[in-house]
Amino acid sequence: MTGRRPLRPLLGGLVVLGTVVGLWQVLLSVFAVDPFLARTPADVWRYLTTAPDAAAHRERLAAGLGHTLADAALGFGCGLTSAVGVALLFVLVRPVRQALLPIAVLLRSVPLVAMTPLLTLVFGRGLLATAVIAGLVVFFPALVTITHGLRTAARHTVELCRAYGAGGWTIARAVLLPAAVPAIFASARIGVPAALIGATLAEWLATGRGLGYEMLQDATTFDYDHLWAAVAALTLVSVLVYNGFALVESMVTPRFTDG
Amino acid sequence: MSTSEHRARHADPTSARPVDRRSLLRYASLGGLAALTAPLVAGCGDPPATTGTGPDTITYRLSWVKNVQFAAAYIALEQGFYADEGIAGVNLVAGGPAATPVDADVATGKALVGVSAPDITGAAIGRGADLTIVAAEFQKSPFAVVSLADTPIRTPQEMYGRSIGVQAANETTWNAFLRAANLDGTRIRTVPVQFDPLPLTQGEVDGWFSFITDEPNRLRVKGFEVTTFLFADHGYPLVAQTYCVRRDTIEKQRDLVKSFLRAQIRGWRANVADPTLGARLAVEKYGRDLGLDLREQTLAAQSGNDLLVTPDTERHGLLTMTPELVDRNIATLRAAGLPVSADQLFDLSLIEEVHQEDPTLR
Repeated sequence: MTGRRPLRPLLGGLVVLGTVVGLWQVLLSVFAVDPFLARTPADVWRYLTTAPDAAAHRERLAAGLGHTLADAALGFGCGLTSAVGVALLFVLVRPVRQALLPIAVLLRSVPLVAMTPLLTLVFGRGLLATAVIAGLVVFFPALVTITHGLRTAARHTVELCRAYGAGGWTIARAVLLPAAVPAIFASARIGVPAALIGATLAEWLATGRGLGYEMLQDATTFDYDHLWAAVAALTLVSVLVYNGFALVESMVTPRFTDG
Repeated sequence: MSTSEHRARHADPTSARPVDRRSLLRYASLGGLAALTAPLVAGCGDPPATTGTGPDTITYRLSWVKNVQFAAAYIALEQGFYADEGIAGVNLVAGGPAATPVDADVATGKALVGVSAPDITGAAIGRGADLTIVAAEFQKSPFAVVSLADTPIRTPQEMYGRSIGVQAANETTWNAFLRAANLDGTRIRTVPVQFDPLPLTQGEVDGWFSFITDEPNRLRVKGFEVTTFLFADHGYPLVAQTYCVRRDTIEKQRDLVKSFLRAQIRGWRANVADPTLGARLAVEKYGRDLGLDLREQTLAAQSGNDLLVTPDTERHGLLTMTPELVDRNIATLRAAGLPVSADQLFDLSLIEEVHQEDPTLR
């Protein structure tokens, strides 16, 4: 492990951002999107920095973004924690897996948007609904990845522990979870954009707060400046957090995989 | 993903825009961010409204799902009123609770004409859209809040401390109304809702932003007793169902727009004479997949006709506006924080010419 390795995610993040800004600019001109709708990266920059009400624009964007990030963090936490828990159950108690997996697959195949009105009836339109909707988006892919990761644990190590009389929890802590660390990090990375999508979805269809709803509001009130700024901000945050996880991952996983 | 979405939409000519209920759901299934930005990106692959099907074809963007609200268009299509005017075809594009705003579609040339409202068109003009209103169907705004009679909301002030379901498509009107009526929006909990007023009947919200001809009647037909108040009776006397076009359309295709107006007038006259006509077409043909109820749609057509025909329109013709009505609209919009001049917002010369040239339309 050289000291250069953690720089890679940072570099990756910069490349992604540069590509996004470039594609944004190119797509707008190639498709000649009507200027009434379209805003270039420079327009968004102006809106947030040099425009007459730039401070107010930033304040509004920050407030919405803060709300959405809180929602996303909630969904991320709930989704990832339950994915780890359920995956452990799946691996340790085989009958649970056989009983629950079909239900999970069934739930997964119903589009969340179609299910949301029902979810709001059951869970209301507050934090709980956000946790459930955003959590579900994170949960399913994480469950699959982490279950797979847990099963990569060396079988003979597990059997050895069992032979020495270790319980399920000890095996999980000492063998399974360390083996699944790369899978958990992978799920966390993938979970970042998923949690943001889940949060905006919950805001759009259930709570009516945060950038998720504001973007819809912007589209119907012709406030395209704020809409594009919000999309840019969400994308930026998504890339930053994703690469943040990649950075932590590159520092942490060697301890679990090399040894 | 968005490429196949475009293909899917083009394969189905009845839903050429991300607006009706089905395509809303389809869009939504793409996932949050994609769905939210879809109205913007959707423009990329779509052909402009005036190409592809001939010069005298009109894409007419509706403001809501294909219910009886747009009876005149269905009747004009069925009875050949558009064809009589030399219009080769009219492509009706539906709207919905979270659709792209009509004015955005017209401003960007995806539709030639759209049916909107002065507050929304005024807001679009304020954001730089080169639009204007050429005629008005409803002489009085049909926007209302409907509540269940057991827990009634009879006045705007009674909304304080309660929750109101508002569709994203109606945000502009809702906010303008709050301002014009001097209401404190922070004391009302606004809840995002969709097409079906189920959350109201389930007690999830206390009130529902509605079109007076639509949701109240739908609820009544289902056996609910409802209370309503009209925005128009509380500081918001606007016209509604106004036709907006781009200013350069008036310059380049003035006759086509006038032909469209003539056909619309004939369609509305037929619907006034027999309100079941449009209702039947909405239920059986144009809005067939919406599960509309004929009795309810007929009720809606009748209440719509009451907003369409006034002593003023009896005198000056359907779809016209008196100068006093124009002034009142401009004053209301100013109070709502939408400063727009009468010359900017309205160009009523076309509808006036239509009635002068053919007095039999009156």
